[in-house]
Amino acid sequence: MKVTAPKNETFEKLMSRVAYKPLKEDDSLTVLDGMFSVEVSSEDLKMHAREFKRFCDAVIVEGGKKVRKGTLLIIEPLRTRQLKIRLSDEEYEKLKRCAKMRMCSISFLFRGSLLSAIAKRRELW
Amino acid sequence: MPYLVKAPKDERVNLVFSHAFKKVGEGEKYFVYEGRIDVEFPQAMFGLSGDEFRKLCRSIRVEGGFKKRTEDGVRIAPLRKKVLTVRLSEDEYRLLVEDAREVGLEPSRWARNLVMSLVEQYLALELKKKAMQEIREVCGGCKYWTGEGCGNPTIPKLYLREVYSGHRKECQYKVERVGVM
Repeated sequence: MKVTAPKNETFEKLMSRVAYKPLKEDDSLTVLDGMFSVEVSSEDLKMHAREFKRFCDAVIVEGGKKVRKGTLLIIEPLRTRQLKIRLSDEEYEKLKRCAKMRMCSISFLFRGSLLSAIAKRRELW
Repeated sequence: MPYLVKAPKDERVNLVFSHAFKKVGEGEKYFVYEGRIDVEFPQAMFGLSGDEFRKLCRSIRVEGGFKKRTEDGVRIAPLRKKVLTVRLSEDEYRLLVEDAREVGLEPSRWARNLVMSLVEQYLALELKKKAMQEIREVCGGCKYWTGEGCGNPTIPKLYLREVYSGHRKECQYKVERVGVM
């Protein structure tokens, strides 16, 4: 997934934390390459609402999508693959309990845990 | 839900199975074990010859689960009736497949193993937190309270849940001298 954004040091720093690497840079734009979903808020970038909106409008995502929800910019890759996992009742109950504690859905928990485990194994983060 | 494994009475088999399963019954010629997790037993663990191992695999009966011969052993696992669908991007899927290939498992099985181990860790941590909170409430003001457990030298080293119940049962310090409880 390629993310083209106006040059901003804080944004680049945040993206590098989730294993995004700069591909190209010029005076006004930066192209970053990465594969994970990322959420950036206007507070993270220390921008006012209007400035943040302008920044979000200028961001271009190839191979993925961007969504702005108020003061939050969500960049995520297109999810074209489906992985089917078979679970026993006990495993399902454990996942359900864990998801309830974290106040999220089971598939969200599964996806998040899976990706963080993979990234940790590969020392991406 | 736990599954039941019926295996012939054999000391070698019993020795191996008792590490992974809980013995819940026995008949004249067999033991009944209760299992919860997915386990794979290599043939070498039993110390049986090829023929003996084949016979053993055939004689094992699993209720609420299944057995499957693997390359060098037998796998016993619970039935998995629930299906969870997760959407992944191409890159994420590629990483998963590469990792799974590295360890010689199917991507879905590898994904399940990875996530379930994390979930177990998380649930254990939550239990620990809850137990610690309970202990702190009961033993917090005690002279022997170390901040992590009971430091009373007359009590065997007990932690967490054991400390909670053990402290109340065995450590009378607080009751006698402090009178908080």
